[in-house]
Amino acid sequence: MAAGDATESAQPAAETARVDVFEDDDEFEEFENEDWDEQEGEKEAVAQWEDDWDDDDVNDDFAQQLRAELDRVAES
Amino acid sequence: MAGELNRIIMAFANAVEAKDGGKVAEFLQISKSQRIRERVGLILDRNPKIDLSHFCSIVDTAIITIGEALAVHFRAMQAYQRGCFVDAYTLLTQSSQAFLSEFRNQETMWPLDCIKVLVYDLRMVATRADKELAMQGKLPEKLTDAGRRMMSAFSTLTGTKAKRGATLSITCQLFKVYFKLNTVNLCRHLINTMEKPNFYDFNLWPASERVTYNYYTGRLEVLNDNFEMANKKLSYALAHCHRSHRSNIRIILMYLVPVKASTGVLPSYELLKAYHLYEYIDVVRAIRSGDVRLLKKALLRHEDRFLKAGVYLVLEKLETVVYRQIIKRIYLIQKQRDADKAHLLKLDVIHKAFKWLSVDIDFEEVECIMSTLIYKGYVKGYISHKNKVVVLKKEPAGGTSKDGPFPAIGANM
Repeated sequence: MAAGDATESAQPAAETARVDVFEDDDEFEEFENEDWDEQEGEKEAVAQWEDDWDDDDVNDDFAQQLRAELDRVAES
Repeated sequence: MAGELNRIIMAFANAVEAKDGGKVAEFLQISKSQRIRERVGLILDRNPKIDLSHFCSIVDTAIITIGEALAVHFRAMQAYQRGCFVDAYTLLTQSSQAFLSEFRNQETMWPLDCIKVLVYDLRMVATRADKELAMQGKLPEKLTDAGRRMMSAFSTLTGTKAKRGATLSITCQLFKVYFKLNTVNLCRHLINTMEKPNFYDFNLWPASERVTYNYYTGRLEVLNDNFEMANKKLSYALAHCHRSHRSNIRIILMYLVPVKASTGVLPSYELLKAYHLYEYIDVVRAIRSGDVRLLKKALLRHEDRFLKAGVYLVLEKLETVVYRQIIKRIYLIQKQRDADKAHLLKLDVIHKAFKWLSVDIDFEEVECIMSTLIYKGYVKGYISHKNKVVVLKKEPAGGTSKDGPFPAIGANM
């Protein structure tokens, strides 16, 4: 990915070589089966969505940096 | 060789006689399966003088005349098999037109599957024909032509309930054509028809068509800025998509992630990783942390991809959510220092924090961002222009910032 990004603007030819999302053939595909039993679909193994992330916690790295910056501003 | 062709035609005739639509449809497939196409192509290549119309005429009965259509259809298969897609498309337009007019006039709608196959192939063969034309430096116009033919097939099948059984399949195929050709406004007519009351019980459609329909109408809602409906449609597509079809799930998520994020619901890191949506990892991190610089970087870095997918504008709107987050965190840090004065947020402090994040804006713009946040309901409070300070709503005792100046993100929608 990183290497691809570095040459991205210089070489338009590299566009086609990229194997990632948002590709040209990134089209919604036909389904093999026309119909299926939706009850059978196994539950997703991974946790999907979070709606409780927006808490009042300010202890992550970014918040610590922000705190240091605000301290600096307050002192000056 | 000719004997084998005869056997194929006899089997086809028997399926027609038995009104076995699924079986007949298998014989008509050009792009989906090569089973019949390959054999027919080979036989016709080896017997250039064969009188195909004569062979096929045994298919005709008192109630259906499709022998000649089948002969032309076989020629389309032969052309496709040879890689001559423009020829194949031209032949297919003739055969499909003849088939469709016979099929839709049958007393019972046994040929529904055949109609679906023909419409599907009109799109697929036209797409390949356009590639061929483009390579020859000619104008690729077959898909536009296919769209017109598919729409006219659609229109002839909306009349009676019995005939409507193929309309959602055709609608999905037409959505694909219109999105490809960038003529999505043409989808409106299809949606109006499909969503007419009593047109067809939506739950009775096959899952593949229900999922595809909701995916495309969800994307249209994104384009129309109607995120609430987009969320509904895309969530439906996600929930009902076949779990093993991972690439379609990923494409649904490509649109659902920014839509949900704008309502304050974020995907887990595991979800993004599981579907290789790496482009969104920094976007989501920026929303969580309030790191405006990270969002701008992520947008710039994947700009072409986001633009191509049509999600750039949605993502750009998330900037407001990220601004809310940084303001909220400045407030929270201030509150830890001095709870009594935390509700007074100096514009100068915000300005300096933005500068620290390389957001190069002047003081007036900071005020402008704050009024936008307040106007849109992301922040509760008012700006005291004279004192150059934002006066935030106070938190009630024992409450959180959500009960005070920073209501939940979805709450203002």
